[in-house]
Formats: sequence, structure tokens, C-alpha cells
Amino acid sequence: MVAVDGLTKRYGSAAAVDALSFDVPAGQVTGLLGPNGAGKTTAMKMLLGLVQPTSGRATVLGAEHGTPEFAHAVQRVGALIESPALYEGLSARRNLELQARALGLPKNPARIDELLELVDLTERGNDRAGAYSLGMKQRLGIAVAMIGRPELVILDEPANGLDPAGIVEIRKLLRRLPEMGTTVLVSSHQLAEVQLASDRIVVLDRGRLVASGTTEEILSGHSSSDYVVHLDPSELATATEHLRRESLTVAPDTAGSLIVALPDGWSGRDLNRVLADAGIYATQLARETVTLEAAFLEMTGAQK
Amino acid sequence: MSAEFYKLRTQRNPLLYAAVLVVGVLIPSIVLIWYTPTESAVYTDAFRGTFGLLSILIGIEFGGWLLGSEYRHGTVKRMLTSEPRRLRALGSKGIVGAGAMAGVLTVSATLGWAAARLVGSMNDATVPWQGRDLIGDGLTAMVAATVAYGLSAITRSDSFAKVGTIALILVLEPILAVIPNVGKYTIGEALHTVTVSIAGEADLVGTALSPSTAVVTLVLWLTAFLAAGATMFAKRDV
Repeated sequence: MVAVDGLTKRYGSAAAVDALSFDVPAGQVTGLLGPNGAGKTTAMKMLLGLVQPTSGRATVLGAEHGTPEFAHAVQRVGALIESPALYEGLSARRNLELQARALGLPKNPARIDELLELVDLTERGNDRAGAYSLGMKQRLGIAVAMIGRPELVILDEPANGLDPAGIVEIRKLLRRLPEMGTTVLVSSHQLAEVQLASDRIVVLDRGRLVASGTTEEILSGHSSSDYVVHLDPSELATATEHLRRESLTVAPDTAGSLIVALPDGWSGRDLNRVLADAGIYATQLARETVTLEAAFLEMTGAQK
Repeated sequence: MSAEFYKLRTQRNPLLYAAVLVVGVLIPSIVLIWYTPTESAVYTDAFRGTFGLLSILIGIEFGGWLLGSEYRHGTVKRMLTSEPRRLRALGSKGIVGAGAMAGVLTVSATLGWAAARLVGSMNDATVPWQGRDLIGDGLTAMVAATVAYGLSAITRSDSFAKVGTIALILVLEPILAVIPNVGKYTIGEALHTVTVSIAGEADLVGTALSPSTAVVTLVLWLTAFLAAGATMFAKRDV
């Protein structure tokens, strides 16, 4: 669907996107992750022909940037870049009708009804878009992107500024798009959110690729050696003393349990045995979960 | 083009501009119902004065708004992902805008004249058809709109385009006009020559350029604004 190879965009001496390479496979949701200023929007704009790359190649729906076919390919892509580009004086229905005309689609009120229902705006479809809440505008922006039944949609921070309920709605919507035959490339700086919505993730920092793959693939290199041990509160002090005697690093966490860092060669079973030898039985013992956020900080921290 | 036409007929601003022009040219005639002058020149001067002033102001406003508002509201990104061939997008917008403006100018000029004629006839004054003068007024408005359109593509702003057009008329033109051998080739002088030639008053008024030179000069000026705008619009990042 999308192939990016060595894509670079420089503004003077500063590189907004630096030799970026990644693929977006068909029928999946690919998340483009990174903090503000990582180059996500610039990368997406280059895929849509809104920004000229300084060097590198970008291929969208089989057409390479700079070729005559590229313009036709972009017309088959639905996009929401930065904020929803709405004609705020027009209703949602008219915004959709306008977009259909811009794409040369035949008049199809049923399709407009279908999209309004998809983004839960049926009841407000005739209201001015300017009177909508931010969440409603974001949803309408997605509907506008979807009007031409695109093979690919590129959504830049679609959950930006939304409340938790709005974020969940957008996530559900994103998960439904591949079922309709649409591949999704979505960017966000909210790592945990995109982790939940995406099949694959491309992580950027300062314009550079940090990692790409499935969440599991990315997290596999960042597994924690720490264990969280839940104990009876009366046994915390004894357990801490006993574990330290075994030269283990122990720290109490805020939830009243212990975080134990295991040295190489130790497993959870070994830890459990040490506690049992002291007559202490854990109510729960589990390896600490590594979040994408923690992995991201580790990856970018290593670069810094 | 269908989408551009849809934007014009559904958005508030172009409808407002058209309404102001159409209603504005009727106002002098409505006022003259109460003053009942019998000289036909009063009716024609009042109508043409209003039409000439309003049409140029609306031309600047509309020409700047047409593309500048897309930048202001961020919809230029949507416009260029729907039609990534940028020159084609700019051309479609310009052609539809020019067609709509010519239509509104024609309707308002015709209505304004009809109203002046009707009210004049109520007071025994004959108001003759002044087609040539009205074409000249309309051309002036179209030129102002074209300059504003070109400037909006250069500045990526409706406000700067409108202010820039007004600054060109009020500041740059008078400065250029006093430079020997250059002054007569200003856009204003060329337009003046063309409009008085259309009205058949060139001998009466006197012009610094011949009509054919004036037409070429005017076309060159407009081409320069549009070409600069198109080049910037085509190449710059959005």
C-alpha cells in the first residue's frame, strides 16, 4: 500500500524527516508513533504530495512520488491531516457532498447517510460543522476521508484533543476500517492509544525511524527483568530483608507490593523458592509488563 | 469544477458578496424615488457611481477570498488531496470564480440600470443604456479580482491579498505613475486606456497609451500576477 525508502525532508540544515523507511501492509492499521516534532505529519504530508521530499522515495498505491500516476493515486487516498479540514459554514451532509463532487463521484445520498451513521453524526448531519464539538469535527473529518471508499486512509492525530470517550470511539472506528477493505495509516503521540488500535507500529523520533513491527516484536527486545511481588502487608518488611540478603535489588512500589530486579539466570520460579524458604508465600508474582511508552523512552533514550 | 461551483453556491461569503452588489446597485434608485429629479444624468451618475465603487470592492474581496479562505481555514490540504494536480486545481477555481463574478456583475448591472430607468421614467427622465461604460466598470472589477486572486496564491492569505491589492491601487500605482517613461505602463493607466476606449471616450479624455498597447500591457500585468501566484502555488509545501 505504502512503501517509504530513505525519505528525507530538510528545512535548511534541520531534518524534519531523516532517511525514513517503512512499509504499510494492506488491510491493517499501521500506527505512526512519536512525540510532537518527531516528523509524523511531515512524513504523512509527503505521502499525500502536500510536501516535496528533499530526497528518498515514497510509493503510494503503486505510484511513486514525482510520477504522473502519483496524483491519481493520491485521489484514491482519504486523508485527515493535522486538524479536520471542514468548510465550517456548511453542514456535515454538505461537507460530504462537496468532497464527493471534488472526487468526481456520482450523487449518492445513501452513501452520505451511511457515513454519517458510521461516525455517529446522523442526528446532527444538517447542522453547521462550525457548531460541532472537537470530537464531532474529528469524526466528520474521518467521514470526509472515507467518502470515496479509499483503499488507504491517512489520519494524522485523529484523537487529538478528544476526551477519553471520544478516544475510545475513534479507536473503535479505526478497528472497523480494515473490515471495510480500507488500510489505515494513523499517527499519534499517544503511544498507549495507538498500541491498542494498531496492528503494526512505526516509531519515529526526531525524524528518524526508531523501530517498526508489531507491538510484540517491538516489545520483545525490551522485556523487563523486574518482578512484581504481592504479599501480605505484614510480611513486606521480612520479605524485603530476606531478598536483600540474597543480594537481590528490592524496592517497594506504591501499591504496597515489592519490585524485585532479578539477576541473569534467575527466573520467577527461583524468586518464589527464595520467598518460600523464608516461609513467605506471595499472593501474586508476575513479570512487570513493559509498555510501549517505556520501550519508546528506552529506545529514544539510547539514541540521545 | 463541479466542487468549486458547489462551494460558491453553498458558502456564505460569495452569496453575501453577490447580495451586497445586487442590492447595493438598487439603493440609489430607491433613494431617488423620494427626491424625484428630472435630469437623467442624476440617475445614471448615482447608479454608475455605486456600481463602479461596489464592484471593485467586491472584486477585491471575492478575488482574495476565493483561494485565501482555503488557506485561512486549512481546507487547502483537502482541496489538494482531492485534486493533487495543483495548476489544474488553481485553474478550476479561477475559471469558476471568474465565471461567477462575470455573471453577478452582469445581473447587478442590468438590474441596477433597469431600476434607474424605471424610477427615472416615473419622474419623466430617460435613462439611456450605458453598456460600454458598464463593461468598462465590470472589467475594472474583474482586473481587481484577478490581482487579488494572484496575490492570495503568492501570500497564502486572503487578508494579505486584499490589503496588497488595495496597496497596489492606492500606493504603488501613484508612485509608479510619477516615474518618467514607466508611469504610463502601470496597470491602472493601461486599464484606464482600455476602459475609456471601450466607452468610446479615448479622444475625449486623452490617454498615455494606444488602445492596443494598453491591452498588451494589461494582459502582461495580469499574466505576471497569475504566473507568480501559480508558480508559488505549484511549488510550495502546504
